[in-house]
Amino acid sequence: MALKILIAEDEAITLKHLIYTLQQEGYYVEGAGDGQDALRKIESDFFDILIADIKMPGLSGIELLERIKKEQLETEVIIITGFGSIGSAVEAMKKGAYDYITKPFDIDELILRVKKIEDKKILKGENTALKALFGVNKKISIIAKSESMKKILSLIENINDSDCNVLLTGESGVGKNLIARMIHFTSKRQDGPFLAINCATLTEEILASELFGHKRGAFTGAVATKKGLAEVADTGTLFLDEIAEMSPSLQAKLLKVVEEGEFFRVGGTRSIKVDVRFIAAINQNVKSLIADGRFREDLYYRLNVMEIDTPPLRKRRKDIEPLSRYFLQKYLPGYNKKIKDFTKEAMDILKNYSFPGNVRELENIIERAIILEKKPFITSKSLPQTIKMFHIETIDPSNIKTIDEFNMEYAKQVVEMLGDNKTKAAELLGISRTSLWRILKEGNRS
Amino acid sequence: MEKRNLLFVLYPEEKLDGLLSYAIDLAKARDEDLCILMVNKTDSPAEGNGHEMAREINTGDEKAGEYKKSVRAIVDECKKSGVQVNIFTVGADSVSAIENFLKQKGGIGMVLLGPRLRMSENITAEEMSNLAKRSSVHIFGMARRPLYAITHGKEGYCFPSTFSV
Ligand SMILES: Nc1ncnc2c1ncn2[C@@H]1O[C@H](COP(=O)(O)OP(=O)(O)O)[C@@H](O)[C@H]1O
Repeated sequence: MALKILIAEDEAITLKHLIYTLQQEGYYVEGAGDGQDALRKIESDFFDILIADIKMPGLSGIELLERIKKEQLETEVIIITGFGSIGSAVEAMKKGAYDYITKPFDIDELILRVKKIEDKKILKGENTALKALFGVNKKISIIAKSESMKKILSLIENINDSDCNVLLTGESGVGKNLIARMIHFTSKRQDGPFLAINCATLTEEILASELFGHKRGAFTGAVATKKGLAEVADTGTLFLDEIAEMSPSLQAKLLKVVEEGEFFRVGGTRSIKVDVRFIAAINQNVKSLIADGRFREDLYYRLNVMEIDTPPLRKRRKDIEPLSRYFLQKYLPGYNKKIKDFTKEAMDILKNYSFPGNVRELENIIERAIILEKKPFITSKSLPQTIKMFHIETIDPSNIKTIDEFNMEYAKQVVEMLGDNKTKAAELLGISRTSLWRILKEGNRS
Repeated sequence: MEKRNLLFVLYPEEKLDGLLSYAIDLAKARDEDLCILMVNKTDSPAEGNGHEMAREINTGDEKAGEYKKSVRAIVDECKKSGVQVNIFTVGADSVSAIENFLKQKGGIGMVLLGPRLRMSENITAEEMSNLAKRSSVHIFGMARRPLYAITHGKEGYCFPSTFSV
């Protein structure tokens, strides 16, 4: 369903232009010529997003924002501020605006921000998860050209008639969420619900009540008895993202559910029995989390009956090209543009970049490039300048040598490019001549 | 609940061109806020005993000391792109200073080391890799691509195949 957007802007031309552009993007858009008009519309209808000029006769954008926050509406607000008024923009952010944009603005920037909210809304809908995902979203595409991803897919296929708990490890953005879905929708439980919750984004109390539900009157605000996700997920799968962010006491409670399928609602006295499969994800180093006492070892053993480790994108570069094409196809329809492919130069840049934010970062880069590109191909110009400027590498604990080697190779190249001028090279690298000399020499040693 | 932070560790004298927008984009892609740790270069490793606590620079404070200019530039750029930023300073460029900071301040999602710090004379490769071993979050280092660094932003870059991991 298309997002509903209200634009409050007293400059008629800007208003018309914004309405037209956002409609072209496929949103349902209404306009209001001043603050009062906007308020009437907000009071009589629900909008996902309000884009409001900060300065309007009658009622300002900030006042509209305050009304929305006071009524606790789930409308996200983007404030349009005048040039050079960072102060009022900051005030808007403090009052709970989602974002702001300064006039004169780039329409593409605004579209990007709206898309961000759209993504967030979609995600949130799943996280609060009470609208369970019965059977929807069954069509899942996972791009896998590299050997490591192919292995993961065949593993998922192999366990499709098993019911074991699964632990997914791997850096943030590698695709753990997607894999969790794939596991569920290819399993015997595919007709049951798939519920996902991110343990890092909720406070302990809210997480406890989301997971296990609560009895009426268990705490102030618990006006009615509520089922928790563990209960709603009965006969299906519960995906616990960033599980190590859960407090130790909640981990203990969870352990009991995982072991015995039994738990109490918050404030409840009757134990509830459920049949749930657990998939958990961790994006940090599991061993050190256990060593630090942040992740319970017994819970770890219960969950990792099967462990799937998804390597970072930079360790499976073969996936970069097909993923880029996939995202191009995925986002193109939203932008009404005719882009056929990538230029070789652009693809080379992508293939040589390290993606510390993994597939999610690649996805963002491609969507941004589609917005910016004016040619029928994605060219290197529409890729972020910074990924061309910097090389990013992981500090690999298992291999000290690579760090020395890296430094040496890098220093050597710089020296070479500067025609063997070591003083200039040291200056450029921000190190002393002595250390440059040490780096060059130590590299030789290994 | 608060967002997690991307910890960006920098020397105050590091040239910010491109660096900050890179960190901001990455933080956005990861849905994190920014936390910047400015480390002072010490001349001899012995000076940085690493037990020093980092202190937060009050970004609203006009008199942010010697970092005034870079701090203000950072805060402005972050504000413009809607990413929250907290800036800290610590008196020693040693691995333990970074490690202490990670303990002192929870909620860090990943660590990014600026190019100059990445090649710091006071941090050996072994110390660096020990840091990565003990830390539960991933640590990344940045380096300017040589040709790009030399031509300073002119269109042109190279792909050092030797750098791929
Ligand atoms: N192999 C893949 N094929 C297609 N899309 C992918 C793939 N891996 C990740 N993605 C996409 O990248 C984004 C980040 O993936 P996600 O599963 O949220 O990562 P994680 O849970 O590891 O942080 C999502 O939009 C996801 O759909």
